[in-house]
Amino acid sequence: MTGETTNIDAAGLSEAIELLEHIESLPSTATGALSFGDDGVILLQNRRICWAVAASMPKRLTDILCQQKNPPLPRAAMEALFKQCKESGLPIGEALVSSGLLSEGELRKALAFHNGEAVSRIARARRRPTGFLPHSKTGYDARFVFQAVELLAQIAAAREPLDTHGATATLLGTLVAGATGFAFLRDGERGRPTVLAVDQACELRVSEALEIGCWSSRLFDVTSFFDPTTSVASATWCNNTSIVTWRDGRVSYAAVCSSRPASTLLVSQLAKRARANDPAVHPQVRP
Amino acid sequence: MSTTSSPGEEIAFAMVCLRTGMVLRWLSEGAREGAGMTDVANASPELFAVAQSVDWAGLFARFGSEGGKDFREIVLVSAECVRVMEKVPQERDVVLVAVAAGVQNVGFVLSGMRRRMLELTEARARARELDKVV
Repeated sequence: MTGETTNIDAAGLSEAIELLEHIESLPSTATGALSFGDDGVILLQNRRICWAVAASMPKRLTDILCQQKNPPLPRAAMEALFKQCKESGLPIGEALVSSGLLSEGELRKALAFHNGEAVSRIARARRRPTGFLPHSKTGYDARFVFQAVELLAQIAAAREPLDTHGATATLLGTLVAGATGFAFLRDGERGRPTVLAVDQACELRVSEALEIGCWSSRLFDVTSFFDPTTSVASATWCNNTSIVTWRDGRVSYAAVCSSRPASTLLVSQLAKRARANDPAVHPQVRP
Repeated sequence: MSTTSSPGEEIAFAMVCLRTGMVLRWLSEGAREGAGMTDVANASPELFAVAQSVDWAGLFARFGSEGGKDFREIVLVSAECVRVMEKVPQERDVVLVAVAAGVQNVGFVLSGMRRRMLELTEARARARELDKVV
């Protein structure tokens, strides 16, 4: 799950979307270095983003990793590990996790932060790559590579730090087996939804997530004519695959459900929650 | 009166034209005045139409659902009401609409919808058989 609150400079979200959509337009086997001249580089493995670095970045991954822990990781221990990795050729991520210095989740969070910031900075400097150098080696651990939409959430989350934390927790706490999805705010930059958090297993493309967000908003706009309190909707495709969307305050959510039982379970849970939160059913008791 | 109900819970049904949003046939007495059926019917073309801006076929194909051109069912839930709209097979631009006010159990409404749709399908099959005989 990405979408943690960060201090990434979130200006230029549209440019980041454009760049991420360009990455998604590459062949699914695209593995190699996408270069952006002097502005940076993005490493891809099967079109997923494994590493990005921008020339203008103020922080290195080491700084992020050290500061992420409380108390911060000792710099000496980190540097010793980096040295060992350089000699042995072991990826630093795997070494950090196997040494117990970081959990898998903590490393993923730090990498998402780093890569999100790099992509954001590269996109603002240069929207299109200057070249692509294919690699035949695919040595990045699949646990630590990112879908474009995950990094979009990472970048966008900086704009809405207050909503992001709750949206991430709600999304994680709501999705059922067979469902994958994302949280968003409607009417973000240029009238498009702002993706705040994404389920790690979410296979949606950036354009699909944005379109689903627009569709959800329009659907609820229509329901407002006959029942403004409508908070959950599902739309089922021909073969029992569904999109379930719901809203909770400012934040909206959408999930793709791969089976009928998954969508029914999700809608049922959300319906119970809607009823439990209804002030008409559970009026607030005032002292 | 042909509503599907259990104590305290009642579902009203109607057949609705998906092009005009007009109620074609009331399938239960309660549907006429119940829970704003006409409002839902009027909005149904818009509710299904909003889906057309997205390449859903391509999206769902990647999620393992091949074929199809549009949504076949929409479910709407508020704190007080469950509404279900489902396209009637082999009847172009017709949806069966269920409105269940005060219902908490979504599964109950979906089951009622399935039963009702089955009744409609069987009735249509019987009518076709009769046509052949006549």
